[in-house]
Amino acid sequence: MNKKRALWMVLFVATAVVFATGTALAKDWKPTKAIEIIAPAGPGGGWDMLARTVQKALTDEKLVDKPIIVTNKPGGGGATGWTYLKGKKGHGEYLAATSPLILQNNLLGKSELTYNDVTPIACLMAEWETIAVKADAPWKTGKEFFEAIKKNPASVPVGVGPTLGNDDHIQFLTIAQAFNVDPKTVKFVVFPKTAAEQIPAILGGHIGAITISMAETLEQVKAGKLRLLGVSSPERLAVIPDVPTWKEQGIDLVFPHWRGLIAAPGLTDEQLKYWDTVIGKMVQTKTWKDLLKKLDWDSFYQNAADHKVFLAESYKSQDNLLTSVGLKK
Amino acid sequence: MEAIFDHLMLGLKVAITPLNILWVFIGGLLGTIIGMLPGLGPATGVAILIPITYNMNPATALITMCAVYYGAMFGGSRASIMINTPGDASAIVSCFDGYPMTKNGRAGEALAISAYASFIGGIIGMVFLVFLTEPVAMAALKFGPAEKFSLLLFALTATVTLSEGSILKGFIAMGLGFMLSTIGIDGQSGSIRFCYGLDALQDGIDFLVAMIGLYAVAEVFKNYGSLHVKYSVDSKTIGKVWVSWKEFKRCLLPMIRSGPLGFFVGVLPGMGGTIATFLSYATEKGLSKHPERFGKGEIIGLAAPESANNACSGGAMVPLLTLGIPGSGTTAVMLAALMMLGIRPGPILFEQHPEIAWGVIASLLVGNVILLVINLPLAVPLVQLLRVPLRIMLPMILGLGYMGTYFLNYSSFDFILVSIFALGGYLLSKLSVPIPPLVLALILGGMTEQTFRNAMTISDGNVATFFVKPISLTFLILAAISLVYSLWRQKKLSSPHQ
Amino acid sequence: MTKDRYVGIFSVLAGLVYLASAIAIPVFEVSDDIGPRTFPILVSIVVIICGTFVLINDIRSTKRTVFSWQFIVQKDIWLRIALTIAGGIVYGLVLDWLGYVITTFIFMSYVFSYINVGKYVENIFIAFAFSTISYTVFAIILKLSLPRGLLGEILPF
Repeated sequence: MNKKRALWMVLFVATAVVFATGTALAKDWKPTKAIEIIAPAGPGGGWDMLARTVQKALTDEKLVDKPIIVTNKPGGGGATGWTYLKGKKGHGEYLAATSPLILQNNLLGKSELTYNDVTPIACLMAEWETIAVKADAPWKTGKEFFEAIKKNPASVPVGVGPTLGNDDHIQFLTIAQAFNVDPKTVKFVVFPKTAAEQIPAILGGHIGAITISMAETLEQVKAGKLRLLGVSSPERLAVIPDVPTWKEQGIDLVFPHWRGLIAAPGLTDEQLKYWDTVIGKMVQTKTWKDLLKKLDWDSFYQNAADHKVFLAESYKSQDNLLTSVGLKK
Repeated sequence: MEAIFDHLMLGLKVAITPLNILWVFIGGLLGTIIGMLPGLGPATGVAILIPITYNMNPATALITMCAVYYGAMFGGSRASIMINTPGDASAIVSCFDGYPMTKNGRAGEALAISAYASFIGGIIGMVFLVFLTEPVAMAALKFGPAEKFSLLLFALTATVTLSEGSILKGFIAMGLGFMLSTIGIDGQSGSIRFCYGLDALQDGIDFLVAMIGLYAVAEVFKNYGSLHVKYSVDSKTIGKVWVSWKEFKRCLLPMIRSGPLGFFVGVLPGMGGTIATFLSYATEKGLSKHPERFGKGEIIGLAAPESANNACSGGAMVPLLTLGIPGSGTTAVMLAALMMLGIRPGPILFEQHPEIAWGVIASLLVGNVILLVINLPLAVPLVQLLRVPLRIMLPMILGLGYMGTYFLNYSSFDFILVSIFALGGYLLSKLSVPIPPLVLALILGGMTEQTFRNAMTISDGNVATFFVKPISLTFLILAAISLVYSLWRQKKLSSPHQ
Repeated sequence: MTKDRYVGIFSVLAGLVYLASAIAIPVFEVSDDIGPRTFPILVSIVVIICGTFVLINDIRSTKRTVFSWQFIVQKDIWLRIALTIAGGIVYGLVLDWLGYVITTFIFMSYVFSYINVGKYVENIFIAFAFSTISYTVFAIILKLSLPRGLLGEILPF
């Protein structure tokens, strides 16, 4: 048994080496086998949907000539999937979906891995954050709302999910601070499932407000059941023209919940250039634009070079933010 | 009333096109097969379909995904009945009496009644969905963290009281399940608990991993002693795929009353089939004149939970269609697929896209009929699998179990966990410690703790909140009754010996 | 030793170890008032109490039946269990590297070798069929991700 296993291993390692060197020598790089897009979460989440939209856009528009598969690698708030990607050093066929969590995990000490361990390819889309209250709640603006919290934090429990320390939570803490509310006094109620249970909880009147990404509340707002107090975009959004931005309310906060693509570390310039061009073409296509519209996502494209700079800046600003609101020690 | 029938007709018109019926058939078959395999459940089944649905119209896409969902519910209990290996959490209860029936040479009968019960439950779910969607969705909003905690407590107590012999051992098993459920990062405080430096444990233990170990692999261990036995079941007495009218009549009332129970539990986001099946089993055992027959091949013990489970998947559609809230992992994947097609379900779905909302409801009817048609004939070749010798069957179960494990989190660390759970499950069952309370506590532990903490946060630290809210109080009283009743019964049973 | 003696001792020990770890959980400022320790501490107390009761009942009981693990008498069974557990762990450890098809073929041949003893041809054939068919169905037709491993460098899919 053992001898046989060893024999097989030798055989396959040998073949693998031959093929690997073959790829490295090629000049103008192109994927030589199936492309794998890693969604570092289970099916149905934001990363999974980004991976699948990219898969669909690239395939339908015939921008790549190899098949694309989406691999789900959930765990560690993305860390499991990204660590897997990190292990594919120099292989251009592997991409993964990312979000600010790649910075936050590292800043909050949950993961060693950071954006320097992978190759940023592009930023693609953004969702905006909001704070929602029931439509019949007494508060109409952020100011009124936070004054009520300041008076009696216990009277307004705030729903957040799936964990504290995510973008939803950080948004709330930042705004609270801007309105001179001590973030530590806010009563957060955590809804850990991906089931967005905070929405039925607020509709049923069990909690006072939720901090969440805008798109998840949209249908309730249209039905007149929830009211949005503000939105974290730089300008008012077309789907909710009546909701003022936080900026209009005097808070210096533009806060995109962006998602993008990264590739394995140690890519050659040719490999990086290939993906930069392909993704650059993709965001111009009709398929991609249609998908964004269907999902209520805003385009937030940055090419590889810009995205790298953006990540470095975000890392610094998030560091300050997390420290000032008391999440990072 | 008339409006409802108009809508239903609209829905049926959408559902009964040759193309949609074909897709319901394909989806139902895929779901049934996927549901049978340990670890592969409806969520995976729906995820498989996502790329295919890209090119469908939204109604067809949703109907197909629903068919997979119901199919998985039909299929989930097949393996429970035949090899004591639940395909999904909601099929655990089907092992209790389904497997003993197989051992008694009634495998065909068990498969048949489970198909009928699934059908009846599915139809009850549909009827409730047609007439009660609106009021039920409103009622479900009354369930905040306090109410959910009390319901969880009731479900757990009812399960512990099921454990034959020793309620103390049932509580110990439940405690062990709770212990396992607290492993990982605590979402509320960010504290890392009980990981002992292992990063792989930070996300907690997936209960399906535990289930594959505790049931599928441990079942293989139990059979290691009987490899010389040619077949797991004497092949002459597999039995026809048929239920006698007499037996069916006995099951009818339990199946019908389990339906509404399953539906209402299904409506609550995050609750789902596991609670529905356990509660329905406990209820029927409590109501039965012969509770001692349960666990030994009582056909009602199989029929009632099956019905509850399928009615539950009808209930799970309520939060999805009325609020746009996915109440379960499966409906979360469905929601994602719908969003990619440009449909975002919510409170105005019924007005904006009545053909989708009512098409789905009508698909429950069509889907359940088709699934019954698929499942009854499918049971005939399926029972023949019991003729496969154990020494071929056991390695296959291991292979499928480990493959299923990989599909859960795509993590090979889970293989180690599965092996540990298998050994643990084997040792515990040697010591007559019941496994179901452990699994249920592991599944519900995180939710139990979180709803408790959320309720306490909302009430500003006042425990009275659980007793002041009427719904919550009702469940607490029910929990107390079921505990006292079973203690009294245990005393009565053991007193003649003392 | 009786079954209940084992159960009681195990529960009390597990409860104590768990309690000690629960008390050592670090608590951060951003937590709720209940905190991450309360629930685990309650659970450990319940388990310890139940375990103690099981022990007391067992000691007071008059109709004790001795329980044995039968490591010697049933050594075939225990050996197979040990082989399966070891095999399962190794399977997991090499899966990502070697890929699903190769690892599964090896694992299945290994498991068959001590369950279906002596029938080499049959075993190798079923192991090969199992690994290739399951890969074809799940990874290629249904497009679920199974690790491609070393074969991924050669095969186009």
